[in-house]
Amino acid sequence: MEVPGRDEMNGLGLQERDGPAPDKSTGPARPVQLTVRNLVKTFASRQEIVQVIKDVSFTIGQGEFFTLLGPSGCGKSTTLRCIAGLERGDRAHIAVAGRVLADTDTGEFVPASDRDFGMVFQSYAIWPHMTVAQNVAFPLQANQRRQKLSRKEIAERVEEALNLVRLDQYGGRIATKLSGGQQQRLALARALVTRPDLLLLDEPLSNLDAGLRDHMRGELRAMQLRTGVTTLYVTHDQAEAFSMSDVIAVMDSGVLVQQGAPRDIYWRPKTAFVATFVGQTNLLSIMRPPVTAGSGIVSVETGIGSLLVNPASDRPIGPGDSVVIRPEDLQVTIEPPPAGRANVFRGRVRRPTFLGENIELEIEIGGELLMTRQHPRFAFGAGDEVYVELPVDRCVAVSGAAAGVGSHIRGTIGDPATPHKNAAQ
Amino acid sequence: MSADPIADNMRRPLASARLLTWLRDHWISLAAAAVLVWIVIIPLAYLIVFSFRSGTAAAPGDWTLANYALVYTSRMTHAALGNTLIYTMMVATLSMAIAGGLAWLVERTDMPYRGAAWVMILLPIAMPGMLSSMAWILLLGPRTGLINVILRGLLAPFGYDAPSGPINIYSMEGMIFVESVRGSTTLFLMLVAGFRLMDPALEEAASMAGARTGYTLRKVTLPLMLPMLLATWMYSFIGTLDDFETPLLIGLPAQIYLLPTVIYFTAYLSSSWGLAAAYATIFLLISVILVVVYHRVVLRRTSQFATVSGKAFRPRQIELGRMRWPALGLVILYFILAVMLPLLILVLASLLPFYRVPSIEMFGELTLANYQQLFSNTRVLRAAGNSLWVSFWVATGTMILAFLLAWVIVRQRVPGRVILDSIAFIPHAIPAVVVAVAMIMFYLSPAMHWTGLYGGLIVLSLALVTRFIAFASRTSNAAMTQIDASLEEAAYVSGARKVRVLARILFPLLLPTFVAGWIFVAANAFRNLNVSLLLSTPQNELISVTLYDYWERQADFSMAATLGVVLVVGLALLTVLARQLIARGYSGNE
Ligand SMILES: Nc1ncnc2c1ncn2[C@@H]1O[C@H](COP(=O)(O)OP(=O)(O)O)[C@@H](O)[C@H]1O
Ligand SMILES: [Mg+2]
Repeated sequence: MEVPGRDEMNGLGLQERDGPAPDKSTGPARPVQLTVRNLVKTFASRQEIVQVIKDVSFTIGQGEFFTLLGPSGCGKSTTLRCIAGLERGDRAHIAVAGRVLADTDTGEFVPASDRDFGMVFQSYAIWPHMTVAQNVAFPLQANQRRQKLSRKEIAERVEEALNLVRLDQYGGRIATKLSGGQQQRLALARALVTRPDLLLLDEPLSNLDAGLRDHMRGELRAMQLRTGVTTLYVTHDQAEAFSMSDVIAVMDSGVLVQQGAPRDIYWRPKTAFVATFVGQTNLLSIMRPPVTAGSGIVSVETGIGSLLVNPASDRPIGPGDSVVIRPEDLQVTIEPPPAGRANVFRGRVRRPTFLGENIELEIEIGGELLMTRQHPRFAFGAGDEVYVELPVDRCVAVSGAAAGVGSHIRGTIGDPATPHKNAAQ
Repeated sequence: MSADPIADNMRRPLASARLLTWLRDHWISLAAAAVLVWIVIIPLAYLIVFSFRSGTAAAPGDWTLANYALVYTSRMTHAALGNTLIYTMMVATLSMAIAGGLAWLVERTDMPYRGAAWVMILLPIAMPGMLSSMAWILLLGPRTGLINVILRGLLAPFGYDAPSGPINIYSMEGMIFVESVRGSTTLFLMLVAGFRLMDPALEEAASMAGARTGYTLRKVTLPLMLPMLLATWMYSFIGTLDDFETPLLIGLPAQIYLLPTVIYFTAYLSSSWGLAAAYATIFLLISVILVVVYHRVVLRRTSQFATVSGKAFRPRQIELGRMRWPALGLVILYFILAVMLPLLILVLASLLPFYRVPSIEMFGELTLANYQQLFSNTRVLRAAGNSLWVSFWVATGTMILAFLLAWVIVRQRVPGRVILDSIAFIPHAIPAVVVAVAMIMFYLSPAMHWTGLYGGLIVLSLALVTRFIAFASRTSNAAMTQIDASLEEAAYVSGARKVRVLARILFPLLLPTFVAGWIFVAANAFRNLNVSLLLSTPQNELISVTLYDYWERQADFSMAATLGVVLVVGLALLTVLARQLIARGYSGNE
């Protein structure tokens, strides 16, 4: 069967917007709204002292939707709470719109009540003894010392906020009588009613069921674009992060490992951890120090043979590091591809799984298993001999090897997983 | 490192400025802690210090060990220690036996009318100790006791012609009997809880192996329950140690002194304050040691025992067969002894113009005149007003303090909050009489005397707050932990400062607990005698003291009984109200 190569597909007019080249869609640099510098936080329990945040620094531009993404327990919530003023960092410099909120060098610390942020908690934290409207009015009443509002103005602002989340019919209702999705929107209205400098969201969708969660993703992003509020979003769900964010910062064990636009994070991971944490991926261990192959490309030795790859960063790579390629980037053909192409291997189809929208294959090449997804009309069978091309611009050499991140990882077989350097700390 | 030290110093705020900021952030925590230390630690510390000094409370003299030497050599001490030991051990054992039997019947057998039995067993809670002692004196007083009169009539044909007896309530046995019957209710609740925790599979395994019911009970059930039974026994022992009313009403006339009554006697009746302080310090030490052992060792061991499982299903019920009705008879007998007889005799006494040896004729003289008199008696009305004032403020103060303490202990990350929690728990181990003596000495001392607070209702109220703060603090802590921290944090982020968060978020959320605790404290403050008898003065008398006075000093049994009946009815209504509020509070939180 004739399988179209990459060039033909482009010829069909399928424009490749999603290339590995750095994403330019973030537009011109925005003025900085939030600055977090050298955030360190330790928790002391009776038995031990744990450093939960290890020197985290980042900035968020005005109006930006910034997501902290990482596995559960990596310190996302703690970072958020330090910014909110609910926790004090051991070391920290935090400023919003030029106003210093916390600085451990000068001893400055503005309490949470005076920071003028909106925050949505994972549990929503809707006050059960108040009506919907009272919940939303509370921040306005509590802020009277900064912004004096009359009763009428408060009522108008509450109305406006409830309109924004389409809860205007429910103002008089006892808040706990709302459904999960409505409570979530109420929490959002309450966080936005004071028109805060910064909106903080801690896994706000995790308590919703799957369908509602997908729907709320879109709503949340639309709301953020409409109000233009600078938003710091915390989640462990990569789909949420990818679908809403301008910028994603991936966190692991209290360290910010990579920050960038969603496409950068996906196609240009800097570490094996990032690659395996966001989406499925193939990881190939690098055996020997690489050899330069010109124009930024290097040649590395892996379990399937030597590969031409792009180094993810300036950091020198070598044994113990890995090559990353996404399953959908493998080109699988029955016929040999035109001569002169790099990174072409012969392999055998091990397990084709028809999934409807695509077909998932495991292909064995020299004792390694590679995972790929192909268009479902390609009828591969188990045992088929195929040609596999790993396009050079899609192969990224990253630091570190596979760690036990569970279902996200599809890597090499027979390669003892070495713990990721951060996870080992 | 900056090259410019002056600029560095400019950025670093002065230590005093930092202190000010800290104070501004934590003044509520500090105020709550200060009040707690003021009402718990300082009076106790003063009591202990004073026990090593000569002179009077108002003018302490030199340092001395004379008080302890006197305690050590006094015959009264040895008698009191011996009596206290016998009394507490016997009461703990007997009430355990009663409560254990009742709990077993209600929980584990097929006795009929178990629902009604529950009510019958729990009703005595509404009966203050002072009143059940009075009632039993009216029933079993050697000369005029109703039961004795009837028994003498029955025994006369057999040649019994003594003017008193055959039963004498004014004896150690009498005290033990009255207190054991009364003290069973709390133990009953604890034992029922213990029975429910037991894993029925363990018993079933035994009966599967062929053991009969009686054998299983002895060889499996009892050994399994033993740690829990021991813990409950010790709880009862500690509670009885603090018991004041039965030793006062029955023991004192019988000249049977226990530690609390010895302290009362030396402090109040003979005004030997140094000696009383020494007694109180020793009593405090004993009680604290017992409470620490109970919490550190006994409770911890019990919870470790592998016999209990968290299974929710009910253990198999034991079939009583022919014994079903006699079993119910036992419960009814308990009800008669604990509630019916005492209440009936009090009502009867309240309807008589003056109390005397009961006879058939006196039924013709029944009148409501006592009630009329009671409600027009200015002394009674003033005392009732005082009691209401004290109960209201004690309950309010205790619950507010407990609420703030719970917030500091559970939520605030201030250093020393664990210590605060412990201080709030200390009053649990202070016998009531010791609280009273400590308060008297502290407010009589030169340091505090000038305030003129001594003898007033304020000191009395503070002493009662000390008395109830351990209970209130425990329940408030438990309720505060139930409230998700994010509800509070959401309010901070919304711009609210601590006072607003406490008033608008936490207080409304905790209101059901607050109200239930308030009613509990108010009811107990209203009926309290053990603290108020020492701290009350004729100008500032509480109703419980008036009642005692009618009984003891004026020997006006009818008036005392009338007042007692009114109190019981009032307290019972309050208890019912509290139960309903608590029940509603729980469902309201759903
Ligand atoms: N108050 C606390 N005391 C002690 N440890 C804590 C506290 N809060 C969080 N941690 C620990 O800090 C780590 C990071 O927690 P968190 O920031 O909540 O993670 P995430 O939100 O990324 O799941 C976890 O290991 C957690 O157990
Ligand atoms: Mg979290």
